[in-house]
Amino acid sequence: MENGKTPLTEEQEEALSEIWMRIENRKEIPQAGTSAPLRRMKHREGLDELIRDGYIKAEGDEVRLTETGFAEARRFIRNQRLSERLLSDVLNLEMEEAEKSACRYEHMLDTDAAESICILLGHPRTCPHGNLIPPGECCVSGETSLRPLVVPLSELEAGETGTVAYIGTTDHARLSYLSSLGVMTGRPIELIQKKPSYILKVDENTVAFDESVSREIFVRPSQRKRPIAGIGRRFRWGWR
Amino acid sequence: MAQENNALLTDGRESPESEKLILVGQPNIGKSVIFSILTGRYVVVSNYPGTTVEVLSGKALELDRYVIDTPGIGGIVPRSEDEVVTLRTILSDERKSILQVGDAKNLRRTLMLTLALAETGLPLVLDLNMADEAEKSGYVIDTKSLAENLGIPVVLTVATEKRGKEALLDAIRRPSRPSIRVTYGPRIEEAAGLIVDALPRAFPSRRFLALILLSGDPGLADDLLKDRDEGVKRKIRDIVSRAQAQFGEPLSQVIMEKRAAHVERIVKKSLTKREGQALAARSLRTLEDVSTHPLWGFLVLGLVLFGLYEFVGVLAAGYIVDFFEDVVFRGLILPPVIQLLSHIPEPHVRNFFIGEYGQITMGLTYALAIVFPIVAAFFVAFSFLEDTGYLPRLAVMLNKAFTRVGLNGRAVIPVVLGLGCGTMATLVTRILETRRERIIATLLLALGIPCSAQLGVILGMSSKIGGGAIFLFLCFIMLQMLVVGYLAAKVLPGDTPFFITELPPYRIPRLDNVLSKTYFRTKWFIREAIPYFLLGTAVLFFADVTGVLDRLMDLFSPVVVGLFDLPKKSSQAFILGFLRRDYGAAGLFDLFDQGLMDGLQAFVSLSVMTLFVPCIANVFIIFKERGYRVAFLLVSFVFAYAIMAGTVLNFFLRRLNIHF
Repeated sequence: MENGKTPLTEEQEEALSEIWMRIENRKEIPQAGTSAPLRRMKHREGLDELIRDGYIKAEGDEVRLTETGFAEARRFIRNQRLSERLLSDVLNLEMEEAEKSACRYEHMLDTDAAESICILLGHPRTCPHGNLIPPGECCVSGETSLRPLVVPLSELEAGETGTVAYIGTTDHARLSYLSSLGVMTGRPIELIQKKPSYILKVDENTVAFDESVSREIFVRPSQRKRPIAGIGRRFRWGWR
Repeated sequence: MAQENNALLTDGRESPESEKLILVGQPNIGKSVIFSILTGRYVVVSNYPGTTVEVLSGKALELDRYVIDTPGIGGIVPRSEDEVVTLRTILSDERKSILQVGDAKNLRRTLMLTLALAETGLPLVLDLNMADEAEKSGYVIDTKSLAENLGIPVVLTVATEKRGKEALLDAIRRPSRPSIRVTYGPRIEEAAGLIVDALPRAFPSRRFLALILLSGDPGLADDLLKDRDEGVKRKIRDIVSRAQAQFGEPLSQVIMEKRAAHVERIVKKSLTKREGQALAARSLRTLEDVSTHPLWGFLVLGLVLFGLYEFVGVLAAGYIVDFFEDVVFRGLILPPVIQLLSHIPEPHVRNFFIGEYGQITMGLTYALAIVFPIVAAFFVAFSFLEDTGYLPRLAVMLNKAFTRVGLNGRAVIPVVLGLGCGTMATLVTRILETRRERIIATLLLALGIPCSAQLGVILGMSSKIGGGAIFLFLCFIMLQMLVVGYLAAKVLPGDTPFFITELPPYRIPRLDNVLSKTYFRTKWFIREAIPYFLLGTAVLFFADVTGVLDRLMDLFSPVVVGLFDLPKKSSQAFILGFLRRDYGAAGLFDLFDQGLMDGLQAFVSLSVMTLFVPCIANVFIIFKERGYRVAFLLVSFVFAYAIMAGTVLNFFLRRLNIHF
């Protein structure tokens, strides 16, 4: 999804997950190029599709993860294990129950959401079964404060970009005026400055307003592209 | 409520039968320029949203139509008086078609309004103006596809250069009823249908009105259906609140999102963007960033003020006034005129023209030699600033400070304009959203903002009293404004409204536009001012001849002499000041020049004069715009406050032994 390809099907994701676990069962660390035994795989259909789309290569009795296959598998495993952690630790579900629910929505998580869960849980290293959770960008930068996926504009830093999620006001005039200036759900925005007044770029428009208005414009910030350098790397993994 | 016709700018509509063409559009996209192209009538055009505050009408030169220019509307739900005026014009029951003027580079925004206007069912033409700016930003607009999708003629123009005029005229001749129709889902459609049925059958554009009413507050029905009967209004309010109860989010948002989805579909088909553009105006872009920067922005603000001071205060009020007064008037014009008129045998008649309070020696000389150059210079500077697009940035910088006194950044326009002419500025307070803001702005304008004529005299005077004096004077006046504004904001019920403004791109002002604006503004000012100058002088003359002046001076002397420690004669300046503040200030200047006042007295008298009731023209406008009750309270307050503040100021200066 992230690199503009069609998203994997659930079946494909499950198949990747199975390969990943087989590699781990051999006490190997999954990487691009590591392979797992093909025998008695559960998700045959997904497997065929993965081969067709170039995520894995079949070599005799083995399947080998390609570069993209590894990245996708890693992402999915991370989502899966974070979901399990969330459900068992935060929602206090029994392991079995947790696994079942996690199965359902691990497929729906995107990277941003996974990152939020990761921060919320304090960058867990293992899933409830004791398997390693591949670290994400947030773990590397050691981010500790959770940032909701949708925030009022006042929470953005000057220079950040995002898209308008919704306008949280019941004042009709304000709503109508903002939308007439192009500040509408779904429009990409760039916050130019916050002081002395907020200045926002939407399409070709530049709009200025005061703080009270900024608290009513809810945006989905674009992913932060600046890892916080120098803050102790808490994790050292065998993965890249 | 704003008057639809104002004697100041509008002429009558002559033939009611002919079909009207109404210009509608968002603020600051050139409706007024289009209007003057179509009608050949001059309108004040500026790079600031909200300059047109009233409806203008004129006959189109090349078409058999009356053209009506309306104040810009932001959204379709009105925010201020001027926007209500626009909606009323659209909803009036004359035969008409609409010319929507839109911003070519903001197609989405323009089309949002188009879709709303399409609901009127009136013949419509869409003019995408400022096509050059869109082109510079790399946009390519397929007008043919737009026209097909909307079912109306669509043209591209660059109004300031008259590009696209022929196509526009051609389109206006064949407007058509839009074929596009947005449906808003069963529940909203049902409510809209109910409102349409509730409205009288003869009512024009019922669906359009219904959707506005659904998008607005319940009180909006009262505003737009002013003279309809109570039962209808109540019924509509019920329908609106019942419809609203079915949605979690405001109805306006639901409606807007439906429109936005349509707009998106149309835009996809008719707009492409070329990449790698928009390098043209780099330096202007940088300026944009700098002038709203939390630090550099204030530096720019300081520079602008300094420039304004140098241009108006030093150049105009100093050199040009000196030249006009000493060389032109006292040197060239007055001697032969006095020579001629001194042959009049009857002393009273002679003095009426050339005496101490003579129409020519005092009235005309003040008006033309002192006031005129200053005001003209101010309007040049203001028009220039306005056309660059700096004023909204000024609003961005000052919004915080304005919030303290119950106003917001939007009030920058009336306040800055007030430095030119308080009367004009009081009229422009209409662009403010709430009655509360309009009252506060009117109060502050009346109380503390010195108009350019007065400012010029003050600057001239203070340069003779000393540089420290002007600084102290400004501090004192600012302090009074803050105190009064703060208290007014506390006393008057209501909240300070939110501040949202569009920042138009910087544009390089066109000399001809700046000059013609200055010309019309100055002409307006002169026409307003000179009669009052002459009237004031005449009143003084008769008061002097009949001895009333002496008695009035006696009446005022306890205040003037007792509280302010000023010479008795200065009360004459205060009486003059009521007719025109600048005139009064000029009178004080004279007393100071003649050595009848020392620096301290001059300082105190000037401060009081500034706080004092504004000129009589302004008072008239205050009564007209704010109503008798509010105006009476305002004027009495200002009067009492000026006396109090002057007394305190005088007391402290003397106590602290400050001299100039």
